[in-house]
Amino acid sequence: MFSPELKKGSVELLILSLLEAKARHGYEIGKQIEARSDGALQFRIPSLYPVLCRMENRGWIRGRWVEKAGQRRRCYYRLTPEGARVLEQQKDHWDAYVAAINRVIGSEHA
Amino acid sequence: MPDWKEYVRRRLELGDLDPHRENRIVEDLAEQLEDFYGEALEGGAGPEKAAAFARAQVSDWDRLGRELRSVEKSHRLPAADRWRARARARGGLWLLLADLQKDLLHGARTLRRAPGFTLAAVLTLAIGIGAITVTFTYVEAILIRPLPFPDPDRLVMVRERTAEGEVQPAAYANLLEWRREARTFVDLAGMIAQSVNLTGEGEPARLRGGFVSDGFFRVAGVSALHGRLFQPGEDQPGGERVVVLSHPVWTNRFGGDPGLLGRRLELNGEPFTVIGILPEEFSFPIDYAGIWLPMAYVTQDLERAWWNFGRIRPGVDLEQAERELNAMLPGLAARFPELNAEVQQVQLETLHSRLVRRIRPTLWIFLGAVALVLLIASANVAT
Repeated sequence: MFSPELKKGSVELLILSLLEAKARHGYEIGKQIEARSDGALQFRIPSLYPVLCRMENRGWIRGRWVEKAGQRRRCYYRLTPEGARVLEQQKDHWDAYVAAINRVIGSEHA
Repeated sequence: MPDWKEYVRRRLELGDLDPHRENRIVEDLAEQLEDFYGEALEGGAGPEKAAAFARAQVSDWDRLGRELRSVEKSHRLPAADRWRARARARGGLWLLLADLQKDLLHGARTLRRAPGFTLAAVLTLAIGIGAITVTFTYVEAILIRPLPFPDPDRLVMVRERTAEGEVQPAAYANLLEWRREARTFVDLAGMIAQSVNLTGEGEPARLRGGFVSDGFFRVAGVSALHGRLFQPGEDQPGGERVVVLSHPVWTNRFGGDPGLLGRRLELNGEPFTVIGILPEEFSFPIDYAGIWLPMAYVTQDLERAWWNFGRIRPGVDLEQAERELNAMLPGLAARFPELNAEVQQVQLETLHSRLVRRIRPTLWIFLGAVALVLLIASANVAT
């Protein structure tokens, strides 16, 4: 539905916002994005995983292996303080961006 | 159930990534594929369709690998570390080499940063290594290396212990009786060291002489280089006066002249015929005698020879040989009461042990001290 370029520009914001609430593993992140967007946004492993690695290398998120009761061992990603700061920044940028687009195309931002 | 870890490892090329990081990525992706597989099974798909569904999540592993290699540049190993990672993966001896390489590189980096310290460290270690090398050379030559004779561990010195606990050379008469009767020995012989005057051949000279009993060269396990050695009976007075030369005397004094055999030399004013030349490497028991003469011509009391040797038969140990000689003592005491009045026991000791007995403790202590110095020097450098 959406162009790859458009999706690519927002994936970091999507991941950071999902991790703001709680730590999640890679499969869950992809499924949450799909579910919350009502299927409009789908990110497969090749699109999602390199971004996760890049964000971890930047120190925005941190991955740790966790084995919860009754479940398999998985790598859970958690937002770092730096990641939280970047999230706020990206949210502001996104709001400003959408507002600017709307002003140009003449529609109200919901 | 599919082995997703192996599946990912075989398809995903991550280059020279830190092994820990590589393992993390492989396992994480494998777990995600496992999740997709489980999702399909829960949806009612069979194992094969569920596996196909999971595999379909990544269609282009090369592209994924390229992107991850690009993203993970900061985790790429330096060249030396890449080699070490590959070596570790091989295991075995490569693991040892990998650890050695790591330690060497670390050491080299540390030394490069501090040239003054490096110089001091190198000098300290050089002195320590030099000292221990020199010391060990002596230890090896004296204490460890076997004597240069055939079966040197079969050569023993024969001595007598008195009732007062003193140790003395064995009585010559006892030696001759043991030689005749003992079954545990190949042969026994005695030697007295005494200087000999050589005249009539150029400059007069005083040579170190070894006066030996019959069987001496047999005990030593040596053959003549030229000519022959003493025959049975030549150690008795009245026979032809014969002499055997050591190799150094033959070459230094007589120019290595092979025509010397059969010539007469004037020794202590008496003519002796040269019958043999010993090999260059012969120096029994130590590098002592320049010429060898029969015991009959020694000019001192023959009650006790300075050195009494025996060669124990193969298959016989030192304790057995010693027991045999001791068993013969009462008979000898009866035959030679004056000689054996004080003798209580016969003692055998390997020739090597006898030669190094005094210097052995000193050498080992010295080696230990030098080793300790090197250890301290190494510890100082390491810390």
